[in-house]
Amino acid sequence: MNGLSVRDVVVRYGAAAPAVDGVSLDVAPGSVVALLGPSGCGKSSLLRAVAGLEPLAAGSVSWDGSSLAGVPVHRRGFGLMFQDGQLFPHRTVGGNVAYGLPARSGARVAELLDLVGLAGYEDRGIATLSGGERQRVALARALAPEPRLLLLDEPLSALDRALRERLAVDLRAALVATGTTAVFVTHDQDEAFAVADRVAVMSAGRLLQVDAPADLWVRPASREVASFLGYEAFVPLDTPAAAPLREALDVPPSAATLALAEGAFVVGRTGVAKGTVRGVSSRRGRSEVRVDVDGIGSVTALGPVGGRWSVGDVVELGVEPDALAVLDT
Amino acid sequence: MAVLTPTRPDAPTPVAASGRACVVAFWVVAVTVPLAFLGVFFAWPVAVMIAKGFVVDGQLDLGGFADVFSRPRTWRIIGLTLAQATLGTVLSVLLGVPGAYVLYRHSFRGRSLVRAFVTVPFVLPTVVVGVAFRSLLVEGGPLGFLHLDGTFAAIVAALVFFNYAVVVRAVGGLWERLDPRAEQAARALGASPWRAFRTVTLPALTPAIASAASLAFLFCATAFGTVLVLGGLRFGTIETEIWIQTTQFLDLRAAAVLSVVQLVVVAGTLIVAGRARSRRERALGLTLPAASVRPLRRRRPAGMPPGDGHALTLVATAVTAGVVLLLALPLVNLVVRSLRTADGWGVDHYIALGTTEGGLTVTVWQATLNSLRVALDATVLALVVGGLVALVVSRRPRRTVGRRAVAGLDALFMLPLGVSAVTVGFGFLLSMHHPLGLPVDLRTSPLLVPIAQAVVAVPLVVRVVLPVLRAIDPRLREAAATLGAAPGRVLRTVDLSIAARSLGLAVGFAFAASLGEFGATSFLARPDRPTLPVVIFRLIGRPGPESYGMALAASVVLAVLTAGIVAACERLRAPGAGGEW
Repeated sequence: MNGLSVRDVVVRYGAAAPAVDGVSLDVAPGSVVALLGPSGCGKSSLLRAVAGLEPLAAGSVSWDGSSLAGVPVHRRGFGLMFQDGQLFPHRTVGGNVAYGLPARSGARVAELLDLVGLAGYEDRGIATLSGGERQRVALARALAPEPRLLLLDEPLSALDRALRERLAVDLRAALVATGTTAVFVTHDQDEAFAVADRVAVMSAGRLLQVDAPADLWVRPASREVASFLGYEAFVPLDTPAAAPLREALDVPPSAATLALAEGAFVVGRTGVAKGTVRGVSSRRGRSEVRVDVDGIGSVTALGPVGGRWSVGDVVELGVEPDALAVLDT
Repeated sequence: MAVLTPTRPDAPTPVAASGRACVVAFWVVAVTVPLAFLGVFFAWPVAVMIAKGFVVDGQLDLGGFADVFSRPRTWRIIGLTLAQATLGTVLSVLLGVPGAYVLYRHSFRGRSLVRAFVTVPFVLPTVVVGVAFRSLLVEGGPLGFLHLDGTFAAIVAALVFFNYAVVVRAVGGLWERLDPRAEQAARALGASPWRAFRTVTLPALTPAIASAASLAFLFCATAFGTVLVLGGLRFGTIETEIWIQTTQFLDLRAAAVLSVVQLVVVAGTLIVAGRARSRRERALGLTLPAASVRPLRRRRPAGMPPGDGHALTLVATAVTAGVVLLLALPLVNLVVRSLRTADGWGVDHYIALGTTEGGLTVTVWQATLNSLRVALDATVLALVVGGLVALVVSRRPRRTVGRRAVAGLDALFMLPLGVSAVTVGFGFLLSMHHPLGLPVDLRTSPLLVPIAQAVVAVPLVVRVVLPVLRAIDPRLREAAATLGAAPGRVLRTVDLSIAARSLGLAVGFAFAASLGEFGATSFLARPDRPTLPVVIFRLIGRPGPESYGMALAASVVLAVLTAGIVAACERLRAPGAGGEW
């Protein structure tokens, strides 16, 4: 097996329930895997265990088939980037990037700073940087020694949303440009989908599903995964209320469950169902309408820009098949 | 260490056994060297000294306790010590908290000068403080009309003079970085400025205040030079009493009993201090100093409504201004009086420092040179030992046993701060003849005095360096390790690089402590090589205006020397890198 191989890893802190409870995961060379899960699900602990910063209570971590047990952090060749960068405050930007490089690698430092869009920042002090610039420096520093695996622990979470979305794209570009194998921890599914080739969903110390972003979205393995991805309502396929949804997907009735994401219903299209308006909000100009649909419950339907509804109105709803998923269980 | 090339083995190699062995060996040395130092040069002499009092003809005899405790004098001294220390501490805190607010929460012209100035008394040798206060209060002095010379009030005033800076620096250092938004939230919830201070800011500062108060209490309860000069025969502390019992009455039993009593008082204070410090590490909203500092204005700024706390600031400012003037009084007076001669004004006393008048064995300049040499050696020793202790104690082992051991080591190395320097000094004389049975006589070694002074200075070095090391985010070390740095390189490029910024201050305090050390040195300095404080004490003890004038001049020299060195060292450190001080 090439690349990273994590087998049945358990991480414990004291006597409490294990933070990571028997996780197995493979990361092929050159690919980027996102560990996605709510805070406290054990994804950061798993990352630290791979880096060698937390002792394994059980299981193994190996690279290219040989075990890393007994290999200390600094010899694993795994880079790690923290949520808050952890730049060395007593070194300049250049000094931080050069830390993992041999002496006199000024050209390489310049090249890396250029890669993250901070060309010419070598002599700047850390205190003069903005939050986004700090994370860019941290990325350049982590990439500098050409780690065979880069571990990123919520690297964008401390930034505001616009910056986060822009940096996620830049991060993906930098990882692809350098051909870096990476494991990326995040609690934000949009970020995971933007950066990773494959997404591993974690909850309560266990791995629930590992798939490519599109497959994960279309075929969530369980109700738990689906809820975490943003599916908000669940309805058995064989109930009468699910009939218009079955038609839209062109599937026969069965005991399987249908999951509805935000926007599964659209207000104002040719109506196949009816809903009662409970509230209206606006996101980036589009209207989001909370509607109660008989037999399904409360869901978020999308409406056209500038739509006006009052609470209690009954509206016609169309169906958007891309926001529906059939769960196996 | 050689230039590091990133290790990128295609197949991970198991760690070289020698690498891990090196790491283990380093920590073993880092723990053993300070422990051995403390054991041989602190625990052993103290034990020998105390044993002298309790072992009679090879038999343990605790009769000394009953005997000493049945003397009314003992109880009077213990009562005096506690009363002095309590009063001195309470006053230092009451005056120091407003001082911290004005000097660390506000900006004004000359602020750094005032901050440096209030530190001067803390680094002044205790003998100098005593001389300065006497020259102020003595009949015919500027405050002679108060008739305070040789009174309890004079001693307490001198103790506050000395400990004001302890409170201001410790509380101010935290206050400066305290996130003001918690207080602002309280104000927005309807609290008056005073209520917001009392219910939000004060609780956040309490650990720092408690920690500073326990340190001040420790310094007050073990004050020696100041009390010896000011108290005469009527007033004293346990420490001066140990000195009197040892040197005047040759009653080693009483001295031993009193040493144990002092140890109990000190250990109790240290436990309280330790609790306060560990509570201090709880999460506080901290911010950059710049975010919370406001300019100091006499008039209410335009746009600030009445009742918005300006009056509180004015009161604090007035108190602080008064304290600064009072701090300056003994110092200015000391300089002025040293220039007063029998027939007017002149530098006669300073010229006399080059002679051996006043019954001296060496000139004051020679003693100054001795002091500097000794202080240099002592500082190097204290830095090595204290630095290692701080490094070990700053670690947070995963296992509970390890964490307890680290906490124990921390407390152990605070002990010399409070254990009687007189006991240490006399213990040295008794134990260093053949220390631990080794065939050397350390009593004649020129290293004896520096070693004794280093014992006293080590806790100061630890307290300055440790908070800086503890403040290093452990993930910074992890980041270095993931970039390929071996443990040695992490230590050098993260811990040492960051701690180096507080090293200037540590050097300054160690040097000042050594220059001013009097309790142990008074026993150990050989007659032909006295240090400056020893010479000053000898000069005060002799009758006649000439020796007194020389004592004043020598005190000025020692004060200028100490303050100058601390100021120079403090300039070397990066702003905000001082930890608790």
